[in-house]
Amino acid sequence: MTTFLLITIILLKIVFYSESILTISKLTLSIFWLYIIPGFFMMYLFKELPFIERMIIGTALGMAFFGVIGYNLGVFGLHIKYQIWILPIIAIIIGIIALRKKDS
Amino acid sequence: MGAKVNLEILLIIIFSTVFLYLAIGEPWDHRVVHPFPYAYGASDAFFHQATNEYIKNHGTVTITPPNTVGGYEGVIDAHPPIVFQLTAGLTILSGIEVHDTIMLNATLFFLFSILVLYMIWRRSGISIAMLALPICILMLSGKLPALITWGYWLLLAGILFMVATLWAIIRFDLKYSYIPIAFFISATALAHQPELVYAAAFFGIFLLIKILKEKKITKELIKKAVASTALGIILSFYSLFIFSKTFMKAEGYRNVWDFANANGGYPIFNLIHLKYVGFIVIAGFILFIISKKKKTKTAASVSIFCFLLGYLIYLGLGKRAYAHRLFWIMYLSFFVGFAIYYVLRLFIKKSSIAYPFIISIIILIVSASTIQGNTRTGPGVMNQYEWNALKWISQNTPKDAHVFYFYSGMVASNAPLYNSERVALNLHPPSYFEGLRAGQIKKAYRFSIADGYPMYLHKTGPFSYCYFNEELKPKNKTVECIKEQKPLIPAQIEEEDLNICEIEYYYFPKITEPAIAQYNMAIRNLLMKNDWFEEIYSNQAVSIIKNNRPGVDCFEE
Repeated sequence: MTTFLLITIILLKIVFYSESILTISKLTLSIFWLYIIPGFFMMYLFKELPFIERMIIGTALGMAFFGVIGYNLGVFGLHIKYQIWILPIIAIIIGIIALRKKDS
Repeated sequence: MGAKVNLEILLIIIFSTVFLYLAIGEPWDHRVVHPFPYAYGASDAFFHQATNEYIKNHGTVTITPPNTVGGYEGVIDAHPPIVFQLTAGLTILSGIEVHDTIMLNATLFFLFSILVLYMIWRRSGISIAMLALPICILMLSGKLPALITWGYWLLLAGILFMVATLWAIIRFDLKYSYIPIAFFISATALAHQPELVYAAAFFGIFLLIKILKEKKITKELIKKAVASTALGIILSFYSLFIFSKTFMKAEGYRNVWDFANANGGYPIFNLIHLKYVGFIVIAGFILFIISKKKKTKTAASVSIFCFLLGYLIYLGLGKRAYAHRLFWIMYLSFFVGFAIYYVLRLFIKKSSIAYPFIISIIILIVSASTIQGNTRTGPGVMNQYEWNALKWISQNTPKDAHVFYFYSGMVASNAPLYNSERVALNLHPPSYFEGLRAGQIKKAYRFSIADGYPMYLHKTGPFSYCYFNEELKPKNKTVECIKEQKPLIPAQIEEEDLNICEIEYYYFPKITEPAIAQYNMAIRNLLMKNDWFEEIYSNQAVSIIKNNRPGVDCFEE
């Protein structure tokens, strides 16, 4: 995951070469925290799939998870500034449980 | 095996870099942070941006900014919420402004919809998928970059989650497939409702074919189908409930039978626009039929299904079906990959991932070189001066101020004005140009309120609602909430022209076509002859003046 994070920072620095590395890094970390990491962990439910599939589909799943669950929590009044921390943690926990279940 | 995976991942990384470079790097002058909405080419983009800004500050995707709905407070946001939800989260976390993160998110939706399709094509073989990928860079050719710069962001989110749903459906046999099916289908519902209908139709067709093929309905099938559907409904229920009370009433089934105008504002895209890609697709399709490879059937089915969505205009679905023509290149890329793979196998018998990799890189370089320059837009509709003026209004005028915008190209659209966070009224062009052509400053002009909502839904209880009567506020500040929604009529401030002496805040663009700029300044200068008028803001492009005695005759004959 760390390698992939570094690759993404380099990729985005190529795309946005006039932007500071600090902003690029902040943006990359944000995308990873909100979309990529939660999705990747949830894809441990499907550990049989190849890494690249879990990565790509996982990112879409991370977006779906934050978008759908976050929206519904917002209807009940939970501010987005809390959701950005709570939801990725929940997704990571789901992934860890799935991983442990498969290992056992 | 290790080398195969490495070259594949390398190709995906290279493709993603080239795609982002052209799709968002070029329009944005290769920066992420901009001082104002940059490369925005149309009103829709500003609408989503301004609404998202309000939502980010408000903290939940529930209420729409009051200034976009005539000043009414508590109007439920009727738009599919997922883009706003994701953008607000990314903005708060990264500290980058909404006007940048929302366009970046839209570009990521676009990129990942291609990559998810790649994963579907990959079921036919890694080589076919690799050979299909580079042609997708042509999704940035011609007028297609407008998908990003014109603000078709809800559509892009809808496409991503629709193809992700298709991926999950064709993976139905995985143990927990109901989880991604449910999440992706509900994300589609929260992104753009027409794609929900298409995804659901695919699910129905898939289950039917599965039952017919296996000649039985297993408990497992029923369990998963019910779980996917139930969970999907639960997760999207509230959003779809709002939709049923708003856009479904206003639009619903399009019932559009004028096929010549079915594009409904989208860039025109017919089969002829596929050009040489179309010939390769046809070749790929014929070879697919001849080859009868079982492994390729699923990917081909998805490709054909998505392609045919563009022809649903012949069922009266209008622009909601037409929009899918804009994605034909990526939908049909499977057949491009298949055609090249088939030809490759005629000459190279040895199975190695290196050949598809090299050919894909060549295709990518050649295709990308044809697009170079096509995505450069410059700053777009907005400029720093007008942005500063709009932001000044939001910070220095009373919350219930109404600002009247005299004519220029930028302020003629409603949505950029939402950034003032005040109720905006812009000039009715015929009324303005009548005076301009006559060389006369009129005492009265016609204004209309800058809003774009189909109806003003207001919550009165957990599941009870009423509709604010849009013919009232801000005309006479009366608030009336009625049980049934009235047919859509954009709210008018007056039935007849408004005496300009009744206005309190005037916005005069200075930088526009010379005749228009001159006329604006002539009106402004006439008003400023009255000593109760003062200029409260000025920069190179804008003059904002205030009338401290609205209603008092200010017109020197």
